Amino acid sequence: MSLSAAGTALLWFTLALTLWGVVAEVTGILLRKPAFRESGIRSFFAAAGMLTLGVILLVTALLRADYSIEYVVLQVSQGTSWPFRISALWAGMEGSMLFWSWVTALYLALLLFVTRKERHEEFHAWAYAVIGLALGFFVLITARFSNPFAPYEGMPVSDGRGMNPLLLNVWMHTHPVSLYLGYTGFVVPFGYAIASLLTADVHSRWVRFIRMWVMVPWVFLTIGILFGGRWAYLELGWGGYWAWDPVENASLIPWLTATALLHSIIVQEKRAMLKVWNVFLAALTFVFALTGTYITRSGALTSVHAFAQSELGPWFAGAVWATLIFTTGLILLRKDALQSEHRLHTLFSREGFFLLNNWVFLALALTVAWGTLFPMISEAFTGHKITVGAPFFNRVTPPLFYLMMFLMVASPVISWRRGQWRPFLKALGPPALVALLVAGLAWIRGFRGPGVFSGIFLATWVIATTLYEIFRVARVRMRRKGEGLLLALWRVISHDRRRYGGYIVHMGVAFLALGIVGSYVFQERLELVMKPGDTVTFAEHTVNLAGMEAGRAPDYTFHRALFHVQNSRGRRTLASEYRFYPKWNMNTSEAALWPQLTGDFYVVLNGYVPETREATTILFWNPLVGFVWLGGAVMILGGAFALTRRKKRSIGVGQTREEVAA
Amino acid sequence: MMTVLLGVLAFGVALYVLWPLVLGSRTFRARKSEREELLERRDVLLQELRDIDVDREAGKMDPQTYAEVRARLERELAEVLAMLELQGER
Repeated sequence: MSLSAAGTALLWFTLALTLWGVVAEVTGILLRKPAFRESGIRSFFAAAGMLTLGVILLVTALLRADYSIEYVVLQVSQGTSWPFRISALWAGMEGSMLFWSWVTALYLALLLFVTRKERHEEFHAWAYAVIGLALGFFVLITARFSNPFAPYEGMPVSDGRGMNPLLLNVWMHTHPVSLYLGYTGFVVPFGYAIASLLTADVHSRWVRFIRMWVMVPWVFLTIGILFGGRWAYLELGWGGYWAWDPVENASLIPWLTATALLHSIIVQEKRAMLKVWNVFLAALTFVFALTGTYITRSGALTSVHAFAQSELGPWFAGAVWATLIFTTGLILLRKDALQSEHRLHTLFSREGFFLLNNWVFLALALTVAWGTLFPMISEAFTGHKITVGAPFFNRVTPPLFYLMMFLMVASPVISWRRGQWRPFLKALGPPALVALLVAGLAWIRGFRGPGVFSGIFLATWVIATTLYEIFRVARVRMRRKGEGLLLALWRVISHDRRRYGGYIVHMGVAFLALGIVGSYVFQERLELVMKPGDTVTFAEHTVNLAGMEAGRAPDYTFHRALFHVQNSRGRRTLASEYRFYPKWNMNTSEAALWPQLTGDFYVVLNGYVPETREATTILFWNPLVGFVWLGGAVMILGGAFALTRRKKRSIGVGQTREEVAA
Repeated sequence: MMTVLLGVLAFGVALYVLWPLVLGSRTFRARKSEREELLERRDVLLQELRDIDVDREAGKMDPQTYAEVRARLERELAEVLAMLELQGER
């Protein structure tokens, strides 16, 4: 039996295991047969094991350049280095689907392990069955339509084509992995949302349970989006990091709904409200993650990031519609149980602001989804694909982002149930003055315009209010416990990591906003043809093309331009390459950067004619772009911090009474 | 060779998966005890009490709302503690 046949057999066997798992779980629940339930659980563990074996087989084939498998021929050439041979696992559609299924199976196995003491409960059993069904869908797609083990049926070859040159970047090792860990993870909250509806256990328990299972994929998705932006910035040579490309949007949409969910589950926990909303958001996030896969993998939309063309579209569309109809039907069935236990007294309260923030996130998600899917919608109705592009998003989304920033300022300082105007204004006043000062100084430094001023003001206001709020709470602790400022600050933050992790994320978003305002509105660009020895002055930098080099790598030939760049603070030599990949008949550019505190000087060689020695060069000055990466990093740190747990003190029942009495 | 290996693997996995049905009487490990759930609930209530104290001192909550909420939380906490005592877990 060949490796190809073995891998294919493994996939079908995994599908059988997964489907048996679902059938056994449901049978066990309905007939109250624990033996079936145990068999179902074992089946899911076994499916995770089989998929792990499948991944090992494929990676081995990629590392050994086993050209009996078509996927290896397409993704690995003899010149592909071993790290990229491993990354080839997710470079094409077939490998990606296997990887996707594997990660979903690992999430399910992890869930089974974490809940091992509570497995008997129907609540968990239904969730396992729903997640198993989703896993079965992905395994079916992989085995039937997207088999990475399919044999190569052409004439035997001694060298493969190799992966798309645009993927040959260090971020290829991390960006898709983190993105997939994000997308797939949302299957768990979805599974529990459905389980809560099926068992009519729609109280706060399921949201308490899923909060970690929303936060983990949220952190991974944030990492994935950030790494994707960095990759685009360095590899695509256009000086930007976000182009409202369909595949970029596909990752942003579930991120937005997941962020909304992270906020609204707090309201259900604290106030037993927004029950329908939370179920709906959990389902919608999963649906958008599915849609994201569909967009990335189906080739339905043109994108610089979509490397796959396939016939998977109808299957994914079917899965999306089935999920939406099934969830809506269940919500209608349980509408009585889903009534809120408390009424919203006023929008001027924390729960009111959380509700507003949810509307803003949903409006953003739907706006981005509408713009992204518009080519498909227009094609369905008119027969022509009409793309709305970046101008649509740049015009429609900023007001919503500004409103979101205001809610990040206001929500942490308002109290639950009913807000109080005086303390509210007192908490916002001093930070507003600081923000006004910063935005004013930025205006003087040249960052002018109503949108820019508002952006800088709001971003600074978020940071200042958050810091001030933490300080105010620490001051209460200092009064009560007699602690010093630093100790009180640490205790405040570390005692409620979920809340303060969220505040750190807010500050990250604010830094990100500063970076976006600076780098998008004030970016400078100059395209010119230079010859060796030429010098040009641009954005207070003197750029000299010092020389050109030519060379050859295993898969490509290149011309390298050496630029001497100088400004008032120093001098750097930057090397940018223009490459040609003959197997792909494709040129790529490798940009070079000089990151500085105030911005990035970015140079890219975009073409070279050896006969005339003319180098097409594009220069960019991207002010404040460093804040984009800083903000992203702070967001990830905040999310990770929110996931950590403080070591629990052991509290006896007696002590409890004393505390209550106190 | 590969065929034999895969056959053995498939047989082993099938045996592992179906074994509970063969045994028939296998049951799950004991559920998370009611006491554990009560202790979890107690910790949540204590945290909420601390939160509203801080909110009150930071001026985010008016005295009337604070009194209402604190009374409700204390009532619920007392119920939880009474149930814990009934279980003889002190």
